[in-house]
Amino acid sequence: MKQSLVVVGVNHRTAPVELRERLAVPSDGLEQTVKGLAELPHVREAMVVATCNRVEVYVATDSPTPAAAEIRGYFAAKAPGSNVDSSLYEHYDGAAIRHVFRVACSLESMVVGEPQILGQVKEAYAAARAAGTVGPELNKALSRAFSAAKRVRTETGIATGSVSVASVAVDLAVQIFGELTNRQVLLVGAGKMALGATRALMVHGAKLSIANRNYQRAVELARERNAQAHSLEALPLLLTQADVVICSTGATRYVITPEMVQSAMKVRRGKSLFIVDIAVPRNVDPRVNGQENVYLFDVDDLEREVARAIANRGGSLTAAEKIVEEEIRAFESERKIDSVVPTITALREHFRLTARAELERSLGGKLKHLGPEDRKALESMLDAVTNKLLHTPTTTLRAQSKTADGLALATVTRMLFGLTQSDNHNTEPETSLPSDAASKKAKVQ
Amino acid sequence: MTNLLFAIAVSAYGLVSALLLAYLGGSTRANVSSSINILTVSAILHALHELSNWIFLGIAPFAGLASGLSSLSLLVVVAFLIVRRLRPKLDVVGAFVVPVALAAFLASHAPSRGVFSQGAGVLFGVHIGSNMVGVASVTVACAFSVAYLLQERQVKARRLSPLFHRLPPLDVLDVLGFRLLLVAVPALTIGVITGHIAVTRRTVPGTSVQHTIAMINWGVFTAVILLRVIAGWRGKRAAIGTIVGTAGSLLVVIAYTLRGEGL
Repeated sequence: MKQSLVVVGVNHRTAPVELRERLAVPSDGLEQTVKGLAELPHVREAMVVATCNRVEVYVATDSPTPAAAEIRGYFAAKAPGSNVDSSLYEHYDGAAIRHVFRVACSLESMVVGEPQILGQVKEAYAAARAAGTVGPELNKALSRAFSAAKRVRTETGIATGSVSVASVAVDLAVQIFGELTNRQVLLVGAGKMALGATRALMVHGAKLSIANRNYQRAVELARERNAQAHSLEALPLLLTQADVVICSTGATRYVITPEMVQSAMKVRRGKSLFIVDIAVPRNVDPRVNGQENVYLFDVDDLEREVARAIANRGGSLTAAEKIVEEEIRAFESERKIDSVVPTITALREHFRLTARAELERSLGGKLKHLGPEDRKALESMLDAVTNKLLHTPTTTLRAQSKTADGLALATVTRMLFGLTQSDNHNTEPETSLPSDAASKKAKVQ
Repeated sequence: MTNLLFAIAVSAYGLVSALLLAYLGGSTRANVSSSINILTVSAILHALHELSNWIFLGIAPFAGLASGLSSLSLLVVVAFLIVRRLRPKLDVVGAFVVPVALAAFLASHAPSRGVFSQGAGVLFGVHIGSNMVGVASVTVACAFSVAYLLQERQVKARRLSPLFHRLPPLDVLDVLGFRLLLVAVPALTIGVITGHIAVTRRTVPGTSVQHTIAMINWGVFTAVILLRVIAGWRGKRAAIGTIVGTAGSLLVVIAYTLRGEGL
């Protein structure tokens, strides 16, 4: 049965950070989550992309609408009483494919062109594969999306300039402080995006301190970055010294409170404090922004900067969009060809087996006097005849697969030659599924 | 000759004001560096106007109300042109400075009812000169403060318009505003002391009200500096203090001009 790709999810445009916090899936919970999703009655393959800006479920299914309803149920169960339904979007088939390509290529990111999203999608894909919930549909779509993303990054300038959360944070810091040389940057937590931001700030000459709940981890990171390591308990003191604070911990409650900042500001004697909270759930109480000379930005606040980045990168964006569209067209074309490949393979196998059977019969009867060389020549001749006879039907089927009549032609061919599904041999693209995914793969087929 | 120089300088100031304000408003056509070049030429024309007034008409800078305002506006522009060289991205603050200078320059050409006492002497010259340096400095500091408040408001609201990226960084505005006050307060202190002596001796016309306002302004600026050093008043509070003090200072200058009486 034909499999469809379906995407259901929320992102920074459809849902506020408060809702995304409730729907968030931690990295170490991805496998468990996709396993659960794959158990839904209409879901055949499943993958979850969970970043601070989006939580999306990608599934392959033979019943798109019921599958989408089941995923909506999953989201509703995660955030009861939140009216999450109105924030969810759905994409089917072509639109779903376009969506996954655009997400992987960072065209749907809050900061268009930011590089983290590709790594996050790859991480989601790896987790789904480890859970055994990736089948041919997701595998093909994701593989092609990754190569499209690679093209976008290498062939356009979309990845240059302030197109990441990190560089936007640097821009804001520069607009607040002017020069960043010798400014003190405090990294709270060790999120990837935050590390990227601190790296960018250090390029501008800022000095780094790292505070982490796991002190050993802080020491490791500090050693790598020529920074100072601290435990999270030192946070009140560190706030009195830092100019820029970047928060990215996995904490589910506020790590920086208004009281903490108020005490720090007294010691700082009014010196400006710029706080970037890129964690979801948020690490910094929003009331902190109400204090004088304290400037707090969370992930949603950066959206305004995205618009500017998009405007400034109009040319690159257009080029990136063009590449994505090219890749989508190529993928759709491959997909259509793939849809007739089982028929072509079955047809060739049917001809080959029939010819072989006849040859074996003749070689066992009237032609049994033939020697090994003659037999081999006869086999080659039959193969050549089979290939010549099937050349036109094969190329026609491939060519027609790109048109609306492609599938119908394949069906007619199957009917004419009495080909059945069992005639398929080795038609599924290699997915490199781990062995423990065998049961799921069976379900996929 | 002087009228021609005046007309050209006024037109140039007007053009610079329009260009810088258009740039702040988001115009992509307005070029800031061209505006600053025009402003430099305007300041030269303005200086030539002052010189021609002195040579051909015998009106020295700060010799009367009109020439005082004209000299003040030139000082404001020169102060800005000097300060803008200290840090990048300061040119746009001219959008707040140049219109004020233009207004003062235009007012200097209005028929004046006030004439300084003849033979007021060195004390009067020191009084006017130091006050003008002080007022010019606080006017530029006030422009930085206005820019600071605009900038700060956007950052606090976390809604960044193109203006945010066109204005200088917050800390730069704050620090330079403070440094200008450090220049202004000593000059104003001399102005207040000499003004007090002049009023007491009645060597220049003046009213105790204007003198009191000038004292209050001086107190405001001094308080802004002291509170910053002692209590850590920075940013918004310092900016508001500077704007209030500058408004008071300009009030004294306006009263001085309109009434034609002394400090």
